[in-house]
Amino acid sequence: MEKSLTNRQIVVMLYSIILGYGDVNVPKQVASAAGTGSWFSLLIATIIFILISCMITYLQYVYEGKTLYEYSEILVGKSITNLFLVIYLIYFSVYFTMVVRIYSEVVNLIILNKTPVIFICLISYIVIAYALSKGINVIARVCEIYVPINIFVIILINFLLVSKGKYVNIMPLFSTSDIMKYFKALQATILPFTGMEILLFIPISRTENKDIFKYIILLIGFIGILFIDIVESTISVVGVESVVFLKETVLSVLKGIDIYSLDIIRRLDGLYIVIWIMNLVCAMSLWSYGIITIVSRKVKNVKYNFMVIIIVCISFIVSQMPKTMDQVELILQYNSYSGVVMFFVIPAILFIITKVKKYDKQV
Amino acid sequence: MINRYKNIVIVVLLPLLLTGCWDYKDVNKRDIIISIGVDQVDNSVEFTGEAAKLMSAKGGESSMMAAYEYISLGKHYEGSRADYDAEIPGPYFAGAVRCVVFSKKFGAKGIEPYMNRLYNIVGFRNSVLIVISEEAPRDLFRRKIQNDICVGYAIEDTVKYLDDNGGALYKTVQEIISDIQFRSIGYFIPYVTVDKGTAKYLGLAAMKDSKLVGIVKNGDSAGVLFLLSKQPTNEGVFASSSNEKKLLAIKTTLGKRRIKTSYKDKNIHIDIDLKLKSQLQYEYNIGPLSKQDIKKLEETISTRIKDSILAVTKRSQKEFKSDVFGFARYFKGENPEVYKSMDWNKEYQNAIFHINVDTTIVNTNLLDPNAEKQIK
Repeated sequence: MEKSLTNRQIVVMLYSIILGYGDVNVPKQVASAAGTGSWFSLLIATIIFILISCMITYLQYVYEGKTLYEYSEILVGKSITNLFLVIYLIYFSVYFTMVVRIYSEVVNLIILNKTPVIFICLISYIVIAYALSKGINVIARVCEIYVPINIFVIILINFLLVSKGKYVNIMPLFSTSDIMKYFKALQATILPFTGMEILLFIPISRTENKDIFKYIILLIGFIGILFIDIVESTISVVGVESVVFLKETVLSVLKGIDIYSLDIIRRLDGLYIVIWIMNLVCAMSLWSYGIITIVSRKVKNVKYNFMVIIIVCISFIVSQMPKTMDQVELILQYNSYSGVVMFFVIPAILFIITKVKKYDKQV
Repeated sequence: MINRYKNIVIVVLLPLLLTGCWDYKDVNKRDIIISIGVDQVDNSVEFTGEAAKLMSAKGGESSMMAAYEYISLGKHYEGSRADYDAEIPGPYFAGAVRCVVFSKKFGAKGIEPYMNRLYNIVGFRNSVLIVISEEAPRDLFRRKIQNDICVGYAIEDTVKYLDDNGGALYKTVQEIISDIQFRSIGYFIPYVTVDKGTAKYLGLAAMKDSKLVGIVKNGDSAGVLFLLSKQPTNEGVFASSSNEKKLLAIKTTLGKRRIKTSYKDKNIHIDIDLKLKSQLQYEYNIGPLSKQDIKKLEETISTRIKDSILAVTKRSQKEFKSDVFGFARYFKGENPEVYKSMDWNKEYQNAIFHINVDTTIVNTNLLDPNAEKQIK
């Protein structure tokens, strides 16, 4: 039996998986839909996702030490649980595979132009397979080391971006005539916030994780503020008209900035790539953890490490199937829409049954 | 079995993985570009510029600081680049480019396609300085520089130094692309030359639709700088109101800048409110300076800056016919609905400016001009 995770480990893992690949593109995704009012859409999205994360945490808290697989069987029966697991398996697999591929494509475009994408993928899979073979506790400890560095550097970079930005570029902050536009833009905030559904597969202990609700609410609130900070600081530098043209927006904008006073690290894109990759390694490990948790429930006679190798190999082969980067982006986009089922519909069904049948009182 | 030899395998594998990048090439095997010049020659695009000379000089001494000029021609940018690639011994490295220089002729034809090339091709930095030169880049890069490493370094260092001290605008690729994508505004880029062994900043080139439409000379650019520079500084000589022969050297910096826009009676109104801080650097001939003198002096400084702003805004409306200051950004932010339904370029030409400049002489440096009275 593995040692149960601490509150801090759970929140840093959530931070890693939510920021994962999403933060680099969040300004384009949200600004394309909401313009300079992006902060408002993100604020509303943050409140919605705080409520959703509380619902998921409640399920995990009520069914102490269990994951979705175990308590779903009690609530909806074996066959529907199996259906849920298949949906989650496909969802996690698509994210895991496509995030590795798109990360490799971006690294190829930005820094390793002559390195074939397949080799960047291969190296990533080797690192992830090693992390995965060590189990969730090791991934959690890696996140504990990487996340504080990531937070510090992102805040520093945003601060430096603001120092290069102009207030006029983020105006108008709010326009009453665009209010419907801001609400429609909530659709664009789904991809940046996906990832919290991994909580359904992380067992929570009531004694070890007493204050977990407080931690989760603070974390999602913090991530929301961080997203607003990233979006506004990026827009303040180049204006919303430029942001919508740029893929991997944060990296692209950072390529256009030199902070002379920082001397050897005056080119911030290099620094950003380092922390972005650190976070991605954590996120990809966590997506793959979601897969292996589901598979190991169903396939019991295979050794864990052998299963890791099989999953990573299949994912590697599938990751090479999309022919273009656009196809990968499209797959990720559709997967993020299906995320609504994963982090909201299924947990909501289980939550309602728990409440109606008063399982929470019985437990 | 595997565990027994694990450490040995790791030690053997590590050196293989630590040999470097996939496409690693030694620095002396790369073609490191320092500056790029772009010109229109007949129907061809001419790329010129400087590349670092990293081969060791005769006698074993390293000549790291030297640069050599290159020239290539082609119908399009790609053709010109192919012509260049045909004569270089190593892979092209553009990560060290200090500035890109356009000729006036190329500027007049339009720099937008080349800006898009710079912004989107991997390998170019988007923070590179863009300038227009008085002469063709081919001639510019041939001139010898006495006070810096080479022409590219000299131009960048000069403009950077002036920008830091509020005397010029340092315009990067990313800033220009941002202005281009805003669509309805123009922009300024530095205008330079190389003369008597030094790079010289001559003023600002006004660009409309990314085409050169006029030059604001360095001496006339105070108005532009007080509207656009982060920390504009102006040093000038003023005569005392009580004695016209008494000259005072005054340094003026920006305290606060507030730009507000509105749309009234089918006219764009642009309110510019500047709070300036001045410092008496020294008096040409030391003598008493009364409170009235200081008040008058403050008014004179305000009027001079206001006049220079009025002059350049008028030029932007009548001569450049473009909002080269980017007032549209303010208008769009403050009146988004009106902006959507108007033709900014057309209406800007009739915009009404309300300029208010308020100067305060904050100190007289370390000089007490009224000390003579105290002795008596």
